[in-house]
Amino acid sequence: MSATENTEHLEEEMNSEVESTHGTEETAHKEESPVTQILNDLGDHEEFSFGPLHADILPVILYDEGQFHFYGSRSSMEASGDYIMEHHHIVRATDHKSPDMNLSITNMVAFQWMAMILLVILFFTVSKKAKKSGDKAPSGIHNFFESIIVFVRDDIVQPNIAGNASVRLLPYFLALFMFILVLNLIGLLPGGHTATGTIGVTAALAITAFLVINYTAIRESGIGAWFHHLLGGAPWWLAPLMIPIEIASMFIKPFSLTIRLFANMVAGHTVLFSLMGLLFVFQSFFVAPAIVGFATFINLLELLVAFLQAYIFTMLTAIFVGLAIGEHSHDHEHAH
Amino acid sequence: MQDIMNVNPGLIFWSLINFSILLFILSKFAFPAMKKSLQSREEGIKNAIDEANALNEKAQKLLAESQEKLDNAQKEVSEILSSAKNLAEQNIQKANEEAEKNKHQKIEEAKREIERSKNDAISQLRNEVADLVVTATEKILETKLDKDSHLKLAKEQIEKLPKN
Repeated sequence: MSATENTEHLEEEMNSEVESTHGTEETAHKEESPVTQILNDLGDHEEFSFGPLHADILPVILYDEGQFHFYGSRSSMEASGDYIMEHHHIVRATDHKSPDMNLSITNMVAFQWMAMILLVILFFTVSKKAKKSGDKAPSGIHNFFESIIVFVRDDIVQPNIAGNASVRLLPYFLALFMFILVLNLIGLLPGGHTATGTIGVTAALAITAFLVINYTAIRESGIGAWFHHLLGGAPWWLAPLMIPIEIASMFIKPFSLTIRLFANMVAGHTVLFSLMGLLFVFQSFFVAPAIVGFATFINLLELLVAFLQAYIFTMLTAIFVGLAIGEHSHDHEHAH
Repeated sequence: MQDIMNVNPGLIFWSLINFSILLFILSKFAFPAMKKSLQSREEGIKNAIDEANALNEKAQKLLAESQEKLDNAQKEVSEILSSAKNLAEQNIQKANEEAEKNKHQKIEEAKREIERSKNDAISQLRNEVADLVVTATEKILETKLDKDSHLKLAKEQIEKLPKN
């Protein structure tokens, strides 16, 4: 499939990496091992890159020493003289320390925008078709997306979340599933970057899950039940033990979501990159067929993982929401 | 290693904003129409199924009714048939009995007739014989024949009689 392209991509990336280190910094750090090279490639960057294409077009937004700094691009930032790039990081020109907060539009943010634009276009097309088709059977792309909607509704949301909340939360779960799925798939394109392979993105998604879980629990069962839930159903005298555990579990749930998605997306890409890296280590044509074949297999596996992880993230969030609401209604039954 | 394990607050911030915008746009502009079409179609399908079920039930009822009617008709037919058969059998038996009775009557009558005819014949014969005897006596008396001729005559006359 894209294995050969990946090879080219890696080669280009390596070359460009070398160029950029030479170009931007006098203190070129050639001590980087192949492992850190791979992991850095998988991470986030200040410049937009898609395959061999590297473009310094992303705005840099810094909050430092009480005020915001906006720059059109990395080079314009460096031209201003306030900040410079050092080891791929933005630092102050004066004391070579990181600014207080870096809110720049990074590569992964740009990839999220691509996913958003794609999703908005797709869903608007589908919605237009849905308006036109009315009661008639859906066809083509409309049919495809409707089957996804029905899947998310009937297999993820409704079995786990009881009552009216499932209807209200369906758009959230649908957007979550599609967003993760598209980000995963864009990462599988030759030269694409996986936004869901960075902790920042998965953490943000998990934060929305955290908010949705607790907001829904409070809205459906009331704040009293939410506090009562902190006991975890144990007798009151276990409170000193249970309350810290339940509070911890409240935060561990989104944390596990964060790490699970991040690690799964990174792992496959790391394996792919490592396989490709073997070509450069061996510098031989004879290992190529085996490596390309294996990389193709991993690529297909990644395709499965892309769908699977989007499903798992959404499913677990739905389960957590259902647990947060469900235990209340269980208590309610006992009370009556 | 440092880049990938870094949790970049800026990235979290922008991801939150991105996802919120996506969720807002999709749930505001794209999902309602899809939801509406999905719901209306699901409702349509549900209605169609309900209708089909109702119709099916109706048809089932009709079928059962007509089956019952058919069964009744069959029963009636067999009843009629069996009663007709009974009647016919009864008729035949009656006719047979009557015929038997008639036959006996006829035979009886014939016997009586024969008896009567026989009696008639006997009485006629007796009268004839008496007449013959009288005429014979008259002849004897007329011709005054001798003893032998008397006897001969009598014998002849007697022989003329049929043996009885």
